[in-house]
Amino acid sequence: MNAMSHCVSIIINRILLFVVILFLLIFWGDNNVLAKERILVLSPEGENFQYTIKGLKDDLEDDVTFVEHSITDNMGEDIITKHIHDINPKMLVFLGNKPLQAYSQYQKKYIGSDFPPSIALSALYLDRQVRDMKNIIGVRFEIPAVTSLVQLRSIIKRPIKKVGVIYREWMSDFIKQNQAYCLQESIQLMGIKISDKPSMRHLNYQLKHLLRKDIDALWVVNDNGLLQARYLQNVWIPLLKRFDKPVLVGIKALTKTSLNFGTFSVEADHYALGVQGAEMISDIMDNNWRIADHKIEQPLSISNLLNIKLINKKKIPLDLDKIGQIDQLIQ
Amino acid sequence: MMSVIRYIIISLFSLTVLMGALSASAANLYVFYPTDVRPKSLQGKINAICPEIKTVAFGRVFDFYRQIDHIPPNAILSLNPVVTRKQPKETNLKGGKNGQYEEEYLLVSLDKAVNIEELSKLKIGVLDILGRKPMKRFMNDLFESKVKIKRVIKTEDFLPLLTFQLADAIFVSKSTFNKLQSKSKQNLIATQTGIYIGLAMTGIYHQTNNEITHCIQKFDEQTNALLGVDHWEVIP
Repeated sequence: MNAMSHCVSIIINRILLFVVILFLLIFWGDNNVLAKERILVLSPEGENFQYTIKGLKDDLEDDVTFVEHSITDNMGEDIITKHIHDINPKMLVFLGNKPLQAYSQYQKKYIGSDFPPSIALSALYLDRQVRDMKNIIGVRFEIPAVTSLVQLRSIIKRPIKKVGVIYREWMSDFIKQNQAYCLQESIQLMGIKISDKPSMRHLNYQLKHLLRKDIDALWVVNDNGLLQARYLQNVWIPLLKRFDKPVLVGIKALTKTSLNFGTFSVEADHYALGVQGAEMISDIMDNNWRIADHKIEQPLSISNLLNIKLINKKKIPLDLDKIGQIDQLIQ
Repeated sequence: MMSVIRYIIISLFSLTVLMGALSASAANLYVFYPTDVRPKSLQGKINAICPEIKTVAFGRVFDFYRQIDHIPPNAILSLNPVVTRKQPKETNLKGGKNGQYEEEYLLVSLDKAVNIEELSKLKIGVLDILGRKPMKRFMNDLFESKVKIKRVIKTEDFLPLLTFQLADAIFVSKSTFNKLQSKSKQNLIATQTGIYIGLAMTGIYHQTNNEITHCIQKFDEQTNALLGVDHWEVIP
């Protein structure tokens, strides 16, 4: 009998010990989660956005909890309201244009409220998007010409002193800023401004005119209005066939050999963009969750591609020792 | 007929096992050395010199540290502070250049020199080789005061940091400064800091017949130059 009661007592003790350990584990775990502030990340689906989120997480996940939600085209400010209500985030991160547009509607709806600090990444022409928004900073998505041109200059054995660019009127401020940056590197950005709704004939005339100028390279800006399919087919590709200088583009697809168009493409490094965003979040955290420096930053890191076939076809001499600096080569 | 099939199956099985054993026994070397050259290019050069070693070069500090924790290598090759942080069992080779095993680091700014006395007011651009918090501590220790830093993950990002005024100065080695000067037409001014940091070195986790040591010692001039050294010396 004694032996049996001893045995029961041991079992009860074991169960109690197990319950205590379980309780401690749950309590400790909860506390650990609670100790971390939450940051709401709203992003469309897509591999590149995932790379950016990876950059954010790699850098900060030890200190904050990122709560991610996808935003689709048909979602509006109501979904932002729901997520902010459910998650009560300390900060918001928007990736791409769609979530930013939804958040803009949200800010308009709750005008006069206190909005948490936010950062925007991977959004096209960010300055225009956030112009009327409160408590938001970010990193531009467009790579300034100077970053790409300095890279290009270091891999080809030809001087790059004058670079041509054709742009629509609405991009004037963007081009002006790029001209200033290029000048710092002794590169003259020679722009031709055309109307916001150019005819194909006008674009053709202006591009022909620009290519006849004494330029060392051509920079093609990412502008859907200028790069729509019929313009590509009827203006850009036919005219650039005879242009034997480097053509710098911002979309890898335009460097396909069959297109005979872009020789060098430079895009944002999506992962690095996340790390740059994480650095901004870190500064905000250190400043008691307040934005100290209301500045939209330029992207720092790039991913580049060189079409060696086109470079050779144009007889542009390359510094072969520098080829290792290129992420992707088309040979 | 059956015996022939059995023979083929047994032979294939033995071959698979043998190849598995051989690949499992190949020594692993992880390399993280921030340079303008892409990691796959550096990896290709090392693999060509030492085909008997399985070399993986990393471009991102987080991937490097994560992989060391996930699948520990036999050895790592990186800058001195990186190897020191990962605490290998031993450090066996140190890279040298012109007889020196350390390199001077400078503060490089645009147009005018920085005032070291006003360091706390400046934002210093730095290459992240340790991760966010350790990097902050590392810089505070080096300058013996609290320094505001702006991290970049590639050496090529230094110039944009200055061009776009996202940092007042960048903290770079003298050799990086020379490379920046040859790449940029901007007026880069270097300010001496009196800080010296060790060049590339190796850390051993699991020694394997000195294969890795021998491999590194036979690096050619070009590969050594990519790693910022011109020779390797065994650490006694």
